[in-house]
Amino acid sequence: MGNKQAAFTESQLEQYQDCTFFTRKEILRIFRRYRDLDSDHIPKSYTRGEASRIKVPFEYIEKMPELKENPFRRRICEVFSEDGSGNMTFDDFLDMFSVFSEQAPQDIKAVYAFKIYDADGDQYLSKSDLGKVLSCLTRDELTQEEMNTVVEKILEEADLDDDSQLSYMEFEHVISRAPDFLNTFHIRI
Amino acid sequence: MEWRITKLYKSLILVLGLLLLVVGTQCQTTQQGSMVGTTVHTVHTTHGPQPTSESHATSSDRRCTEHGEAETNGHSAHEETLTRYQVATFNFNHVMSPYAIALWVVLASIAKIGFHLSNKVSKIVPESCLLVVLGLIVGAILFLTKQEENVHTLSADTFFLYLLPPIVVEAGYFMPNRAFFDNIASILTYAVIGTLWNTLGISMSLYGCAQLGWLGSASDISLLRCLLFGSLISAVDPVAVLAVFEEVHVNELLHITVFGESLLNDAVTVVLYHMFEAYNQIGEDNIIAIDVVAGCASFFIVGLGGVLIGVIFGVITSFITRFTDHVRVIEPLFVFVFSYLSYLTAEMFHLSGIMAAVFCGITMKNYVEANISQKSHTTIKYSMKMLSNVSETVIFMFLGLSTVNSYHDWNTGFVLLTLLFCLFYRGIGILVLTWVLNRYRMTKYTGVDQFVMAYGGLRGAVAFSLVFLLDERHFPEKKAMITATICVIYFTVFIQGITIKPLVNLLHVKRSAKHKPSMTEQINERLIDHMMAAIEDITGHHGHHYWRDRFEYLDNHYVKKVLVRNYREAIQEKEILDVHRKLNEKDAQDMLKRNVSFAASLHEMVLSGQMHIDSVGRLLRNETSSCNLQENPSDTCLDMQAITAEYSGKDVDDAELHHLLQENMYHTRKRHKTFTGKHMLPEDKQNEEVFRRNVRHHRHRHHRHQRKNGRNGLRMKKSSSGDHLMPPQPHGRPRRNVSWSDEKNKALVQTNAAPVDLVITASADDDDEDDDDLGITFTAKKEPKPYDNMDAPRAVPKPTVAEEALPWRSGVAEEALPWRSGVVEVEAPRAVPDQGLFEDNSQPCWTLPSSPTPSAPPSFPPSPDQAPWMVPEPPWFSKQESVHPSDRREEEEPMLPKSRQQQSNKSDPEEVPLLPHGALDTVLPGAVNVICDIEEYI
Repeated sequence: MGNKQAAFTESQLEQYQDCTFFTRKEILRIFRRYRDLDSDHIPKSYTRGEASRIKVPFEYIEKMPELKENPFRRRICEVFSEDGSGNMTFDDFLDMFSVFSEQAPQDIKAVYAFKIYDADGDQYLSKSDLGKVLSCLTRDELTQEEMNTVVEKILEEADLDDDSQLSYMEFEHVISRAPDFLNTFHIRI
Repeated sequence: MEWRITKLYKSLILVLGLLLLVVGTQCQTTQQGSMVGTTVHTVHTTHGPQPTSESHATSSDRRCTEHGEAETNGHSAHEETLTRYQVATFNFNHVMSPYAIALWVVLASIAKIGFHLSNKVSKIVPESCLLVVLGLIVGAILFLTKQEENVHTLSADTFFLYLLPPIVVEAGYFMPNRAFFDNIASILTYAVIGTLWNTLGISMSLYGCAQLGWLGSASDISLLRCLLFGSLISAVDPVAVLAVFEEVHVNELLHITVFGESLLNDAVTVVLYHMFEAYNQIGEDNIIAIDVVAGCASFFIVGLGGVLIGVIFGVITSFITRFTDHVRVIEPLFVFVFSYLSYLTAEMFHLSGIMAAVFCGITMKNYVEANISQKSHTTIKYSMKMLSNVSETVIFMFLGLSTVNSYHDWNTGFVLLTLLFCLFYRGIGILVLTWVLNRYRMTKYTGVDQFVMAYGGLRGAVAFSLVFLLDERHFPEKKAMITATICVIYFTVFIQGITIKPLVNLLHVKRSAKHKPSMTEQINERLIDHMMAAIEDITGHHGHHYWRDRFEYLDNHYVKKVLVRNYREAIQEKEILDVHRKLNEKDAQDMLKRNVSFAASLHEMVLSGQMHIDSVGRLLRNETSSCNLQENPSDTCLDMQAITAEYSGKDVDDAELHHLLQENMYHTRKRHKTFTGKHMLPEDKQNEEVFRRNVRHHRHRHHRHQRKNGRNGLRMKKSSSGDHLMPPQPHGRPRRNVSWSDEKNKALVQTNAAPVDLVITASADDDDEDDDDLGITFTAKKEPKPYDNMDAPRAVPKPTVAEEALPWRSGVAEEALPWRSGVVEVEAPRAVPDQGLFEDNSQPCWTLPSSPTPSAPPSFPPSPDQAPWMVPEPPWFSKQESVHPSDRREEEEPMLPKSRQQQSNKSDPEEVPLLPHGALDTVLPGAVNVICDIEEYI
């Protein structure tokens, strides 16, 4: 399949197949995508355990011209890199695809969406988390007051237990009501 | 029930009367048409086949109405004869054409009203069917009474040049862009491949049947003629689809798929129709390969050319509206005329006019809306809806009307087979295409969806007009084709149109959720958009999100710079705030709805300047007190306790009024000021204000406020147990206990009241754009009060309980001082100049409508040296008399609210603002504002 040189050993491929929603063919395709990120530094063969060692540094990803405008580039990398640093190993990369694949259940997608929001990683979306997301989205155009109002509004809508923060359950409740969450949170390889 | 029936009868009578009127008119026109036939015929510029004089009159009439009256004047010049001067003359011919048109429109519209008066009928039968039936009735009457050639038909020119464009333009302009472009691939597949498939399938099958001899008299039909007929019968009609689907509220995906298909397949229909027509004229034997190649090429030219013309005109419109900020009135005109022009231009080149108009609308919408004023936007919205509605009505009526003539050739085999093939190929086409599409789509079309899509393939007036355009010389079967087309149309419009609603219910098709804009959804959607774009970037996958992101980038960085006036403002992420605003408006609406009497009283107040203190107060208490009471009890929420502890008086109401005011009033958003200062006309106010009403926010603030007032609060707590209206008095001065119920004329007089500064702020002062649209904003401020300035009463002005409960100081500048003084800012609205505000001494000539003796001259002008707690003032004393010498305030001119008036009576604490009346009166302009705003948005 495209690759002349075997990128993975059979057992590796099988493992990946077990851990993700992908077929072997798709895994190899994803690997090619991954190599496209930084073809100079990523070896063609991953047979000797490079998968968790070699990382594409976050700065490299951030410098991609298409991403310059995107307010969430950092957050996404952080969420999907295993150690939270934003540097992506192939495993991380594969995970990311897996989450966005068609077969991934909604729960998993929701968990990752939640993680994107949850900047401080405390499993709750506090006001500051929401504020951060909001300022990203609005490019800091809102005044503090407006921001507060919007955050209050969100909490009013979604905060079921009135603790002025959103737990995962509350978040999922809201998300699942949105009709096309599943459809948008989706990528085709 | 009774009144409804009578109403129905009345309307029926009305409709019938109008019917007769129109019939009479028609009779008259026909008679006169034959008498002064030359007059009518001079108007004829159309060249459709089978010109009946009436149809020509109609089409030319439309032109007259479009182009003004000048033309008609010219025509009537013919009938000059030598007559003496007459005192009164009757010249019907002079106005005949526009008159007939106007009557038609009126009749159709009134018929519409009639249908909707009877709930039962309009629930079961779609409006389009009823209109067709009405047309049939009128047609039948005309047919029976007159010679058939005088009967109206829907001429193709009328239809394509005047009736169709409004509908298409409306469809394009109000196209849900996102849904449309998200599904553009599927829509195009259905529109192009589906239509081609239908055309080929139907025509080939018909040809096959003809060869088998099943078509009776039409059995010698050639393949090309079959293809032409197939091309016109296979297109799904936007008008019919719109009419039916608007009533069946299916989910957005389904709607946009069927509707988008019906719009975009126009390009295919146009190409096929013209191609086969040309082939027919060339003759079957003379067609060479190059013709076929040209035919295929014309697909792209017609489709893409239409899109291109639409986009060009859209850009031109956007660019022009950039400069209309001083001539707001003509803004809507540009939108209409340029959309229409794009349609006509495309038609001129035989491109797809529908595509052009749709894409013109899609292109211009975003930019135009950023440029035009809110009022223009409303105008556009309603005018478009109205025009398209009228067009639709007239189209369906004419459809019925045109059916009744002798130009038919019933061919059972042909009709039935056509119908069968239409249904069959539509079903098969949808099934196959969906099967293919579903492999690539994220949201799959379910089986039910497919059924509805197949079932929603209605044919309509487009096919009808096209079939009438056929040239009988080349198409000997024209009559049979007309009959078959009409049958297909009637079958789809009637049988499918009527049954689709019950079927949709039966199959539990996902309905369009009543969309409640939710802040969370909005934010989540944006977040996911960004996120998916980022991930597609990272993964190097150029998918849907990637392109949308690219497009947004280009749009924001280049296109909008050119096309949008306030470029910086336009690229801001306004959606979130928009949702916020909408939510707030909805809250306000809900509130008004819940408290109907509140709304009513607000209206009453608006109308008469009067208000009902009791009801308003009660309603407001219902609104706000519940949340006040939820305040954390552990905190020193003394105000809360005070409120809960049964003030049972006006002061509670007033407090809540003030809370409500504070939360409800417009706060001008600061950031807009910087950008919009010069360009905006006053009418644009609605755009720039954020209507804030947020109970939580309010709670929050209130809470904070109490903590700040801790010192006084504690004291209040002690006293609040017993006598709430009588807080402890430091000097032991006797306090007047004022009971509201006893002395309703008297305001709450607080002996040791805090000096309250009243600041009347004319909003125009702050920024010149603030104008009459702006309501009153109350902000209560503390002002650092020089203690030693107070010479007269060493009495430390203590807050009364009532005052404590009032939110004067819950405003922005809370942090200033715990000193019990409030600065009340009132932005006096110019629009309601005579509404009373606070009846303190800073308000000249403002009357208090609610007081029992409203027009009485102020009877108690407070003397300057009067100690504040002695003032026995009635609440209505007016400004002029109360000018206090020691008031260090500037010129005040409430009628010309240009200057910020800061009236500070620092030297001696004077009259306490008379809370209830002031509060209630100030609610007025705000209420006006709220209502206006709501009306705008409903």
